Amino acid sequence: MNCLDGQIVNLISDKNMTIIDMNVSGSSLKTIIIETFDTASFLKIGNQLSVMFKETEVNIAKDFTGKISFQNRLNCSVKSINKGKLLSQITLNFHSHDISAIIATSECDGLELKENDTVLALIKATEIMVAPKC
Amino acid sequence: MIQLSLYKTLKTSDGDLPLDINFQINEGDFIILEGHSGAGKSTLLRLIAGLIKPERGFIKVNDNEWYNSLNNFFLPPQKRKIGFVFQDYSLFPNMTVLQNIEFALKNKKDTAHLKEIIDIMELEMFKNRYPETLSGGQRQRVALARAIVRRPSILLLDEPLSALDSGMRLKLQDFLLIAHRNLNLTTIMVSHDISEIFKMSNKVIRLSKGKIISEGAASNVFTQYYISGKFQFTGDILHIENSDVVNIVSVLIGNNIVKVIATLQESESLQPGDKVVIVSKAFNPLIIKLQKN
Amino acid sequence: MLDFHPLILSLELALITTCILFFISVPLAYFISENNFKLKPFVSAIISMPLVLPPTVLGFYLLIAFSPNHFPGNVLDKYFDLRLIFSFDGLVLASVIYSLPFMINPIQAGFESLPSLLKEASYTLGKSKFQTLIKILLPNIKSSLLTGIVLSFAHTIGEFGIVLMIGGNIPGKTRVASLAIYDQVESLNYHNANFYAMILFIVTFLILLAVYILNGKYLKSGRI
Repeated sequence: MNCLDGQIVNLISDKNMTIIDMNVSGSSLKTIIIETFDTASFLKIGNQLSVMFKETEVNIAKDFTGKISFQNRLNCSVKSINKGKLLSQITLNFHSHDISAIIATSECDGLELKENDTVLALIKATEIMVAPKC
Repeated sequence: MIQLSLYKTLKTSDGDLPLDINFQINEGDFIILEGHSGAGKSTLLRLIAGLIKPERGFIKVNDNEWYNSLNNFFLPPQKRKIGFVFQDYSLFPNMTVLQNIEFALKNKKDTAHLKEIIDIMELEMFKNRYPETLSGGQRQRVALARAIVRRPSILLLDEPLSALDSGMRLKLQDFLLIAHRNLNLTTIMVSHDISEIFKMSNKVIRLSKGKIISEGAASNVFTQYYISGKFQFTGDILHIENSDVVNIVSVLIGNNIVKVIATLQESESLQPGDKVVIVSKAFNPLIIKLQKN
Repeated sequence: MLDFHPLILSLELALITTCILFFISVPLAYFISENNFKLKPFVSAIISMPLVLPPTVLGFYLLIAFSPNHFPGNVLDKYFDLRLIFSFDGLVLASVIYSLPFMINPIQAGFESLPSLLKEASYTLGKSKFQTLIKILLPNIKSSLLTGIVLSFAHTIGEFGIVLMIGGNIPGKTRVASLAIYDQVESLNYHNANFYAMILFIVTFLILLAVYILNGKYLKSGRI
């Protein structure tokens, strides 16, 4: 599990759901959850959150141009690569935090990833979970 | 609505401990009392039941007063509309299952209600047996039936499931929930089991050293377990198996085994037997209607 | 010619004493086991005195107390026309006092061995203390009750010193079997003495045997 610290910058709610806009080390990260301020009192601008997402939900793009629906696009550099037969674990450096991504080895080869490459980590907002920081 | 404010000095091995509790609960609530042993959970249940006398305070159940130290009023346990289930069942050994339950029945002619309870608890098969011939789970079902057949205003459960193995425990949790809903009970149960608390309660009251330290929905009280993911299940790790650059962790949730991928780094802190929470977001699961045939 | 009267008298005395003791001891043992009062050790000591006191000591004081020359014997004699010394009634009263611990102690131990949750469970089911005593507590201490009954019965049959002091060994009135044996031996009628002794021996053995068989059954069924 990847775990980063974030601060709530903006909240957009409808009846049951809320899109949380967070500042994580200077970058914006968004998530959508089935909670509102009425059901989760920690939903207040300025509050600190733990931001969590699964390694397998982190996608990687290199030399990307064009438009894409992933709400979260993080500029990272490749720190290390651990290749397996089917899957590979890529450790990315994001503002001196580590983000781990697990992608198919064939795609890792296709991207010709090597250490210190600049890449874009792509994460869907629906895959990011948050928890209030105690 | 049940309102209470109770004060009682507990004699413990570490000296006197003042139990000082105030709360109110609504009809139909399923309350779980949680806390370390010696926090005063069982004492609180016994105070509500009238088995011990508080030093001061009051208990009000709907519009009826059960206890009030101001006018020195104390309703004896016999007059309180309660059902009490003890950890060790406390069935009457000289009576059969049916006699145990009938003994509790207020109106002996209310056989329809008696039958309903026996059906809910699935006791028909051994209603003529004596308690000592039953398994722990069966005994606790009898104890539960005996407690609810009186149509109590409050059902008090003192760690009723803690002596049972996990399979029986899950089954009895379901029995309890069914009884709670079907009979419109207000239930207060003592439990330590996190998954039980999340599954059963709509409100948790945490006690420590005779005081309430927090109360509210389970997810708010146990903030360390609060994650926005809507798919949350607690379970036990059965085994961890390496596969490629990841590990596959098998987790027993209820009676089902699920497999979850974990990175090697993550798995370092995990080992079989650990209790874990599995969380996923409500956005991922597919929903597929089952065909009736 | 053998006289069966002492045997019948012994049985009569034991039966009446046991009956009275049972109805005194159940509430008394219940009260003692239920409550923790200041005088509890004092009361327990008084009840258990006959276990260690020589019967003649008790007999002597009862003789003095019941004699029409002293209180309370003089009051009983004057206002109730009741003279307890050298009478069967006196024997019964003395036996009740003398065998009290044999009935109370097992019953009290029985009550105290029951988990208190049993009685609390009954209270939470709306049952009064009396209903709980009759329906829950007593049925679950059957073996203790039986032990109490048999011990006091057998103990009353075996009394010697106290019945001699209070009853005065009056034939047909207060001469029970244990005294008759002594009389027969004193007059060297060993045959008759043996007859009484043998019957007491057999009766006592059979009673105890029955108790152990019955108790064994209770224990085996687990429903004690």
